[in-house]
Amino acid sequence: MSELGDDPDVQAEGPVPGQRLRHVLICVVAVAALVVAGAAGWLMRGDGGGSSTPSATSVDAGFARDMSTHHTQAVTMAGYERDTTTNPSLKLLAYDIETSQNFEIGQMQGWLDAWGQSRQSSITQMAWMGHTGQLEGDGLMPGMATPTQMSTLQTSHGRALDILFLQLMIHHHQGGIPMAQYAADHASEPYVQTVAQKMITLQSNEIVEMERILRQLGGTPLPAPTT
Amino acid sequence: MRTRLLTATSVIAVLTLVGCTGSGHARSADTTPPQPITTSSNPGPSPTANAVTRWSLPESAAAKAIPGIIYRAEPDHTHVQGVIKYDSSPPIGGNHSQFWADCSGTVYPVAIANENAVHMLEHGAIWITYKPGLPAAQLAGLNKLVSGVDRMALSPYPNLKTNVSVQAWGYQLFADSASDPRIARFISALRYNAEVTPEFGATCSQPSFLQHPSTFGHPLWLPFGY
Repeated sequence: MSELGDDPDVQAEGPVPGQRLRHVLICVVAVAALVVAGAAGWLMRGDGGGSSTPSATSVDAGFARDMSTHHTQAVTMAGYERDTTTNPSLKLLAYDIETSQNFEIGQMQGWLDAWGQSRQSSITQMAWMGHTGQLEGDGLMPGMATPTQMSTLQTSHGRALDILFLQLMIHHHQGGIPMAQYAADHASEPYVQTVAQKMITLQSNEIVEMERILRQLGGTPLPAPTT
Repeated sequence: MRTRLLTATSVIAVLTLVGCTGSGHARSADTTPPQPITTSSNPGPSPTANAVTRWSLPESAAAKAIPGIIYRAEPDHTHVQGVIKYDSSPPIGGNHSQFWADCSGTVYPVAIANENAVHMLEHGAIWITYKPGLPAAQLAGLNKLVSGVDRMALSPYPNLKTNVSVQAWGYQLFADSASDPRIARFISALRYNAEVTPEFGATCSQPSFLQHPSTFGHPLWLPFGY
């Protein structure tokens, strides 16, 4: 609304050539009408806050909520791997994933706070992605490990643990990247687009690295998420 | 519904203003998202088609304003074992060891391996290097900039062409003296800056490296074995 408030100054600036008077008058009337309409809209606004913050149904808020949930499972998997694996290389990889995704969760939660949006929502997961936002057959977001997979992981040890960790984390990244891609393409806030784009590049790189390690350990990747 | 009405009204208002005044604001002019570079050099068979393995971030305007600063995009980010040949000395980016050097305000008394140092740059660290034998008073000044400050590390660097140089991922500045005011500007512009840090959010903490740092020419690499 501040742009509208500033406008009378713009109109008052400098001499106006006579032949443009008609155009200027139309503009002044149009802007005045919009000031009134805008003020009415402002007074009628709901609980969604000011006009410049993403709403509960926005791509920005949906991405922040759902990717926080998605990341939280990755942090849990990586934390178990870091605590349990005896493979120094994978301990380091898990530590990197755990600390990085925890940081990103903090960023996304901070946005929700700043936008006045709840961390929890009754809005269906992935709905912010429109028709491209599909849950998998088990009702989970793409790439998420099932409760059974999580409990298997958290009772595994040695090479079997490392192979399962890599399989699940590759699958997890593969499911998360299209979510980040949608946010990079459709979020309204440039800083959300930037963070989403960084997730894509980082996780794409990590997939390549994890697949290489998985093959070295004699494992094969799970089928990629279908949604 | 009301929010939508308000938003629609605002959009029309802004469009009208742009039409009337002949000017508008490009909202994201200085926050361009990173530009991925897709490549077909993805090693080995992989279900991840078109994986992004080379990418870089746009040059920082604040950094560009520092006289004498060097910028290079440095699109390679792959973890590679062994000694790596870099395009600058000290290096400012490129492939590296998976084991990042601790950069939690760390003063290394002996030169560390490039391959570990480059990885800490990827995490947003500023790496200050100095020519061995730098006068004690100047070294004390550098220590003060680094010691205990997260995303900072200091080490000597063999055959450095000036007394001091400062590195961030993609950026470098050479200085004849530790008291060169451009060093503080470099740190201020680039230290753990979200716009220029390739892996913003990754940690600098690496206790096991801190206990047993690598030495120059001998990068540390963690094995896949058991």
